[in-house]
Amino acid sequence: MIELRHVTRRYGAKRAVDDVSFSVADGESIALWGSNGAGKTTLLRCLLGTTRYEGEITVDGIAPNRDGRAARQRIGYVPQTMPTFDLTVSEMVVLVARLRDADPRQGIAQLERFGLGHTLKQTMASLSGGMRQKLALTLALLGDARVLLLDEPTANLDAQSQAELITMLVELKAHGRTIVFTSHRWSEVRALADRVVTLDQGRCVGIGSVAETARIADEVQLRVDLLPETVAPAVALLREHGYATERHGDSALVTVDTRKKAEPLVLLARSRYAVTDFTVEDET
Amino acid sequence: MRLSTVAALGQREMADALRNRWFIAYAGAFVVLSVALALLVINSAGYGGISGFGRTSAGLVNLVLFLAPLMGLTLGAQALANEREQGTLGYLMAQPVSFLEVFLAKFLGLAVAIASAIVSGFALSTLTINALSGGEGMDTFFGLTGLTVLLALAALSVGYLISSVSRRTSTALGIAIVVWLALVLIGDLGLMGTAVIMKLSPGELMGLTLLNPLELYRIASIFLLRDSLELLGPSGLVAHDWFGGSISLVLGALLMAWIAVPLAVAYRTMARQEQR
Repeated sequence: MIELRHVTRRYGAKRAVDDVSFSVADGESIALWGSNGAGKTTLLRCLLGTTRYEGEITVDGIAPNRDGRAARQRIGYVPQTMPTFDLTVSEMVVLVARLRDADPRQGIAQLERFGLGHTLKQTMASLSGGMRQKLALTLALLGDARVLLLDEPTANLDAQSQAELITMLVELKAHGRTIVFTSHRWSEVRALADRVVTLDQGRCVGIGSVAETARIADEVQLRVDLLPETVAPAVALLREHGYATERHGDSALVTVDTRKKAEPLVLLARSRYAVTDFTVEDET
Repeated sequence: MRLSTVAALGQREMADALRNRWFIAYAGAFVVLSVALALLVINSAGYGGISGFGRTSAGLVNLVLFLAPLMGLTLGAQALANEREQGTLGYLMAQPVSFLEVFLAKFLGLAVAIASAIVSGFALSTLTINALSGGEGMDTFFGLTGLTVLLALAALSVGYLISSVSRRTSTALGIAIVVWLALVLIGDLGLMGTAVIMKLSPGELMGLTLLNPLELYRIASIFLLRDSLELLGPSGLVAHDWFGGSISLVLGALLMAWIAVPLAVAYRTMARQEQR
């Protein structure tokens, strides 16, 4: 269904995607795994044909850099955060249905299945994060797109919305959709992926089954909530001590060995950073 | 290019414009001031050489010279930068559309909205005068409506160019206001000062004047109202000498160029950025 051969995307001297090759079979689900800046989102943009790249990509036999429209007709895209159009939910469904040559009634029916039938007259701005992502998924499914590309679809959702969205995606996978998604959460990868493509600084450093991806299997993600003014220096401190850490709002997401989960908390406490709460996000 | 895509996105743009408080304020101000001007002219009829539509048109030219460029520039400046800032442009580009379709649809949608506001203002003042004083000079009025739409679209096109090089909507709006001030105030006064200091010949003065779309509109309006450019003095005679009987066509073509050229540059700039 999807083929990538020696795909490279340069920004000046920097290679955001560096000689990446892999294939995705029809109905398969692939997780793109890696830290921020690993090249996951850029790779999704290459697949959509919305950025230039070297090498070859085909989606259902179509090269996105040569016939982007035809490739995107086969692809449904769910961004990390669905942008807010100044439209109501039903107007948005109609707009995207027109762009995708689809029947808007298909989208309305899908929204009802997702429990969003009551939001049709609401503006997009009034929807919660979880509702907006379900709307994004509804729109991605319009026109029966065979491939779904999802860019950290649950990154900004609460635990319940995350679980609901993943359940929906698992159902879609069971119905034969081909899925390529990026994620920071191991639990999602485990629930949804058949294989994991691990990226590091643009390079593909491993392709394997979920079980084979031993590096991540030994790690968990710790979400550490901090006082807003201390997040930036705390993230810097954790990075100085070798922890792969990213900032998410007022939290630090720390990748840590499963047997050493307390270490970053101890480090922060010793350095007098107030930890207001913490969660182990991805217990393997 | 698929026309159905352009139509779908263009309709969304028009709907967005109708919800935009800037657009509502401009359109409202234009319609109210046009009708007020018509009523003022009717009440003072008989004091000047021109009456009815002619006098209203003369007054409207000055109103248009302030409002139409401001409307086009600020709405155009917001259009692309805002879409990019909100992430909606990136989302649309992930759909089966081309950037040319999105770009054209946005321009056409806004152009129709702006043209509708201008036509409404002119139409209401026409109806007011027609009801109160008879229908002389209607052709002038129609001509002026067309010219005003061209000026507003030229300003919209320049606004698009500003938007295409601005990362943030606030920056684009700031630049648009500065450009508006430059065209409306500094351009006029600056040209007068330059003419005095540099001792410009009437031909050079006319050449420089034609570089400003507002001046193009002003000259075309004078020609429309008076059927000659004597009012401009020696520069008017130069224009007559250069273009002969084709003055209207030349001025119209130059205004069209002010629409096409900035739009093409904006498209090229944005298309490159979108492929990054």
